[in-house]
Amino acid sequence: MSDRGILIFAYDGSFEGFLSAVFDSFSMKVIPSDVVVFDDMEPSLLKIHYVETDFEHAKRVLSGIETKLGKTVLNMVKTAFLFDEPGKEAAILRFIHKAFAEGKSTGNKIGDEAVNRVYKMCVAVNNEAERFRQFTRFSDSNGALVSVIHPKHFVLPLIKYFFCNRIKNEHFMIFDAEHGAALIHTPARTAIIPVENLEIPDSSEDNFYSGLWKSYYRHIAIASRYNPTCRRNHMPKRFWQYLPEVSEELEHGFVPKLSFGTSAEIAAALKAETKLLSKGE
Amino acid sequence: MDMYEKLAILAEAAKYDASCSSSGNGRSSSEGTIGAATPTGCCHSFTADGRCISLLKILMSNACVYDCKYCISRRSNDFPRATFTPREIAELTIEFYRRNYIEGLFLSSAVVGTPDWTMEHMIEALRILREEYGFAGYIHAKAIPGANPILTHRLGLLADRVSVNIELPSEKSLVSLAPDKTKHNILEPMGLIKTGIEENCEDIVKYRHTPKFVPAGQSTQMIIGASPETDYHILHLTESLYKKYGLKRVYYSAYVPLQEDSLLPSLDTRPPLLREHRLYQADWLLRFYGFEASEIIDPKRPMLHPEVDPKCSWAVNHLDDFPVEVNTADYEMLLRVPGIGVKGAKRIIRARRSQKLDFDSLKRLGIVLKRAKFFITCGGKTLQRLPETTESMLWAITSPNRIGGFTDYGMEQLSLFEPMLIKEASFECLTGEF
Repeated sequence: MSDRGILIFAYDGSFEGFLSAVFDSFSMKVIPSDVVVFDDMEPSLLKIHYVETDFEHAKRVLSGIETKLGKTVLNMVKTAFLFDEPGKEAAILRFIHKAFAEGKSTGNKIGDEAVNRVYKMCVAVNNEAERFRQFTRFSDSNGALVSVIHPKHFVLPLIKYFFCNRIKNEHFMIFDAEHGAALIHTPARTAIIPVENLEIPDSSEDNFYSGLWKSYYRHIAIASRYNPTCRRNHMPKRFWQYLPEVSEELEHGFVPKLSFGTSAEIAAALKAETKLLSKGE
Repeated sequence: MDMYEKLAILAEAAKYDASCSSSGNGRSSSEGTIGAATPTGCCHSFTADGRCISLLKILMSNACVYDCKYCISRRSNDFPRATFTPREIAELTIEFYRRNYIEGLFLSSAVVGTPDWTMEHMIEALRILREEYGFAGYIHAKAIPGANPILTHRLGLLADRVSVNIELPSEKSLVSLAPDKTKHNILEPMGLIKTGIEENCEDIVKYRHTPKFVPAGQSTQMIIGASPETDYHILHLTESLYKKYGLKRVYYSAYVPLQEDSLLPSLDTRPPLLREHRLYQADWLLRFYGFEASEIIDPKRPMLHPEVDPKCSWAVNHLDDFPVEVNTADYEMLLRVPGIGVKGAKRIIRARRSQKLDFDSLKRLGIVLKRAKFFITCGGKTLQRLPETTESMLWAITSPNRIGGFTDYGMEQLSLFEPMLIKEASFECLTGEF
């Protein structure tokens, strides 16, 4: 391991490419000081090893991890790879080296610094995925459901089952604009495919139900319990762009009127609203 | 009346129901159905008051024949009235569900005409949803007290969760504030559902295709602060509901004054949100932390302490059981450490299987040491000197910033700072020494 610390691995950014890098790292007996994607590479004085993506190597690494290190470690590697910040590859590679040295139980050593780094990445990815299960909204355009999201991490593989399971018989698409990929589902087939740019179909005809939803959202809040901090903790502002129910608040920055509290005030407000509606405004 | 108006009125009338969870049952969809349920549930939005929206929570109707004093839908109140048809409810649910606005439906209703009529129409709405639309998402339905047991049973076969509100924590309050409801009326369907679930569990073992009856269990709700009951009374009632009726959840709803009545708190009363919060904390201790109600609260101090959470309050009064060694303590004991929750305890157990834990690794696990540090040791070491008496422990916990890490707890009498008095008053309340 004399080369340790002076070498950089460059790979193509795919999961198979990364696994090939892991393969090379073991076969060359080096732990590179960093693992980077070709495209984001900055000029460097360090020696660079270009990893060739080899599906055979990738398969061997994957099955090696599964049989020797078990499901826990395998899942951690897979999930952590969806994390989208620089340095993830080097951290995962270090974790894999440690796991091969110390055995199956490494996945449980979440108090250890190297393991904890990967563990935290997994937690972040899973949390992000849960947020998008919660806050993805579809609009209906000619019977197909469409949604555009901008997640921090590549969560499409993790939210796939959730949506495909619940609206199995619908045609829908979730476009991850941040990572240039889309989850496309028809009753016959599901796939995550790379998509560079996308014409989003016009969803302005879907105003009826989103309008009902907005009105519902306003009426279900209790004025005397008003607690914007609590709401922001559960539903941070960066997700508001997807949510029709808070779109006006986000756009105009105004807080919807919640000042009425007593039964008589609520009744009066409802009657006023009903009148407005019947006039067609 | 169009959908907009109906939805506005019936959401407005439904919002005082606290329950909105979609948890407790897992189901995946199949050919020709729409929807699924995940055991952990999923919250799709949060209202301006910070409460979650998981289910479309609406009343079928708010045209009530009852006259419960605290309720916005009571007969004698001047309020716009509306009623959904069963088909409207089903359609609205499906369209919201497709767009990922909601996890399912929470259908409740005022009593229209008779309890039986009301229940029949609620059942019809659920039947359309389940059978015609093939909806496999979550449904929470409210059983109407006083309805025919057969109807309650049919409702239970269509819904995931059924609940009956006990409304107020004692029969006396029920008689004075909800004159049309009786204790018997409320407890009867609760008992029916409980036996229904038990029988169903046996049947499922015997016959694989038995339709499931209330698979996510039943829950209930009571209003806090409209009547004079103490936390002591409420927590013991809660515990017996869990034990006797096998409930999944008991919800507390801080009373929101909506109308003037000589029997109710005045209109300018703030909803007792902190009290509600403490009750929920205590409720969690009962359900997930292995506590008994008698450990959390005693009749001499019948209200939970406002400043310190119930677990902390238990711990400072049982200092003999602490400090706990993180590397060896069992799960049950870890859960009793203030600052360590279910997630934290599980992480500790997972991590310590293959490595010895110190304070640094605890921090990495995400354990917040702010309070926990006073109650734990890592490999026999503590992070700082531990207070020895209940009073000094409370002092240390409630005023971490003032004293910092270099405290000599014996010196606290010399403090120049004012807040001594307030703090002492709060110790009294907590420890029951006065």
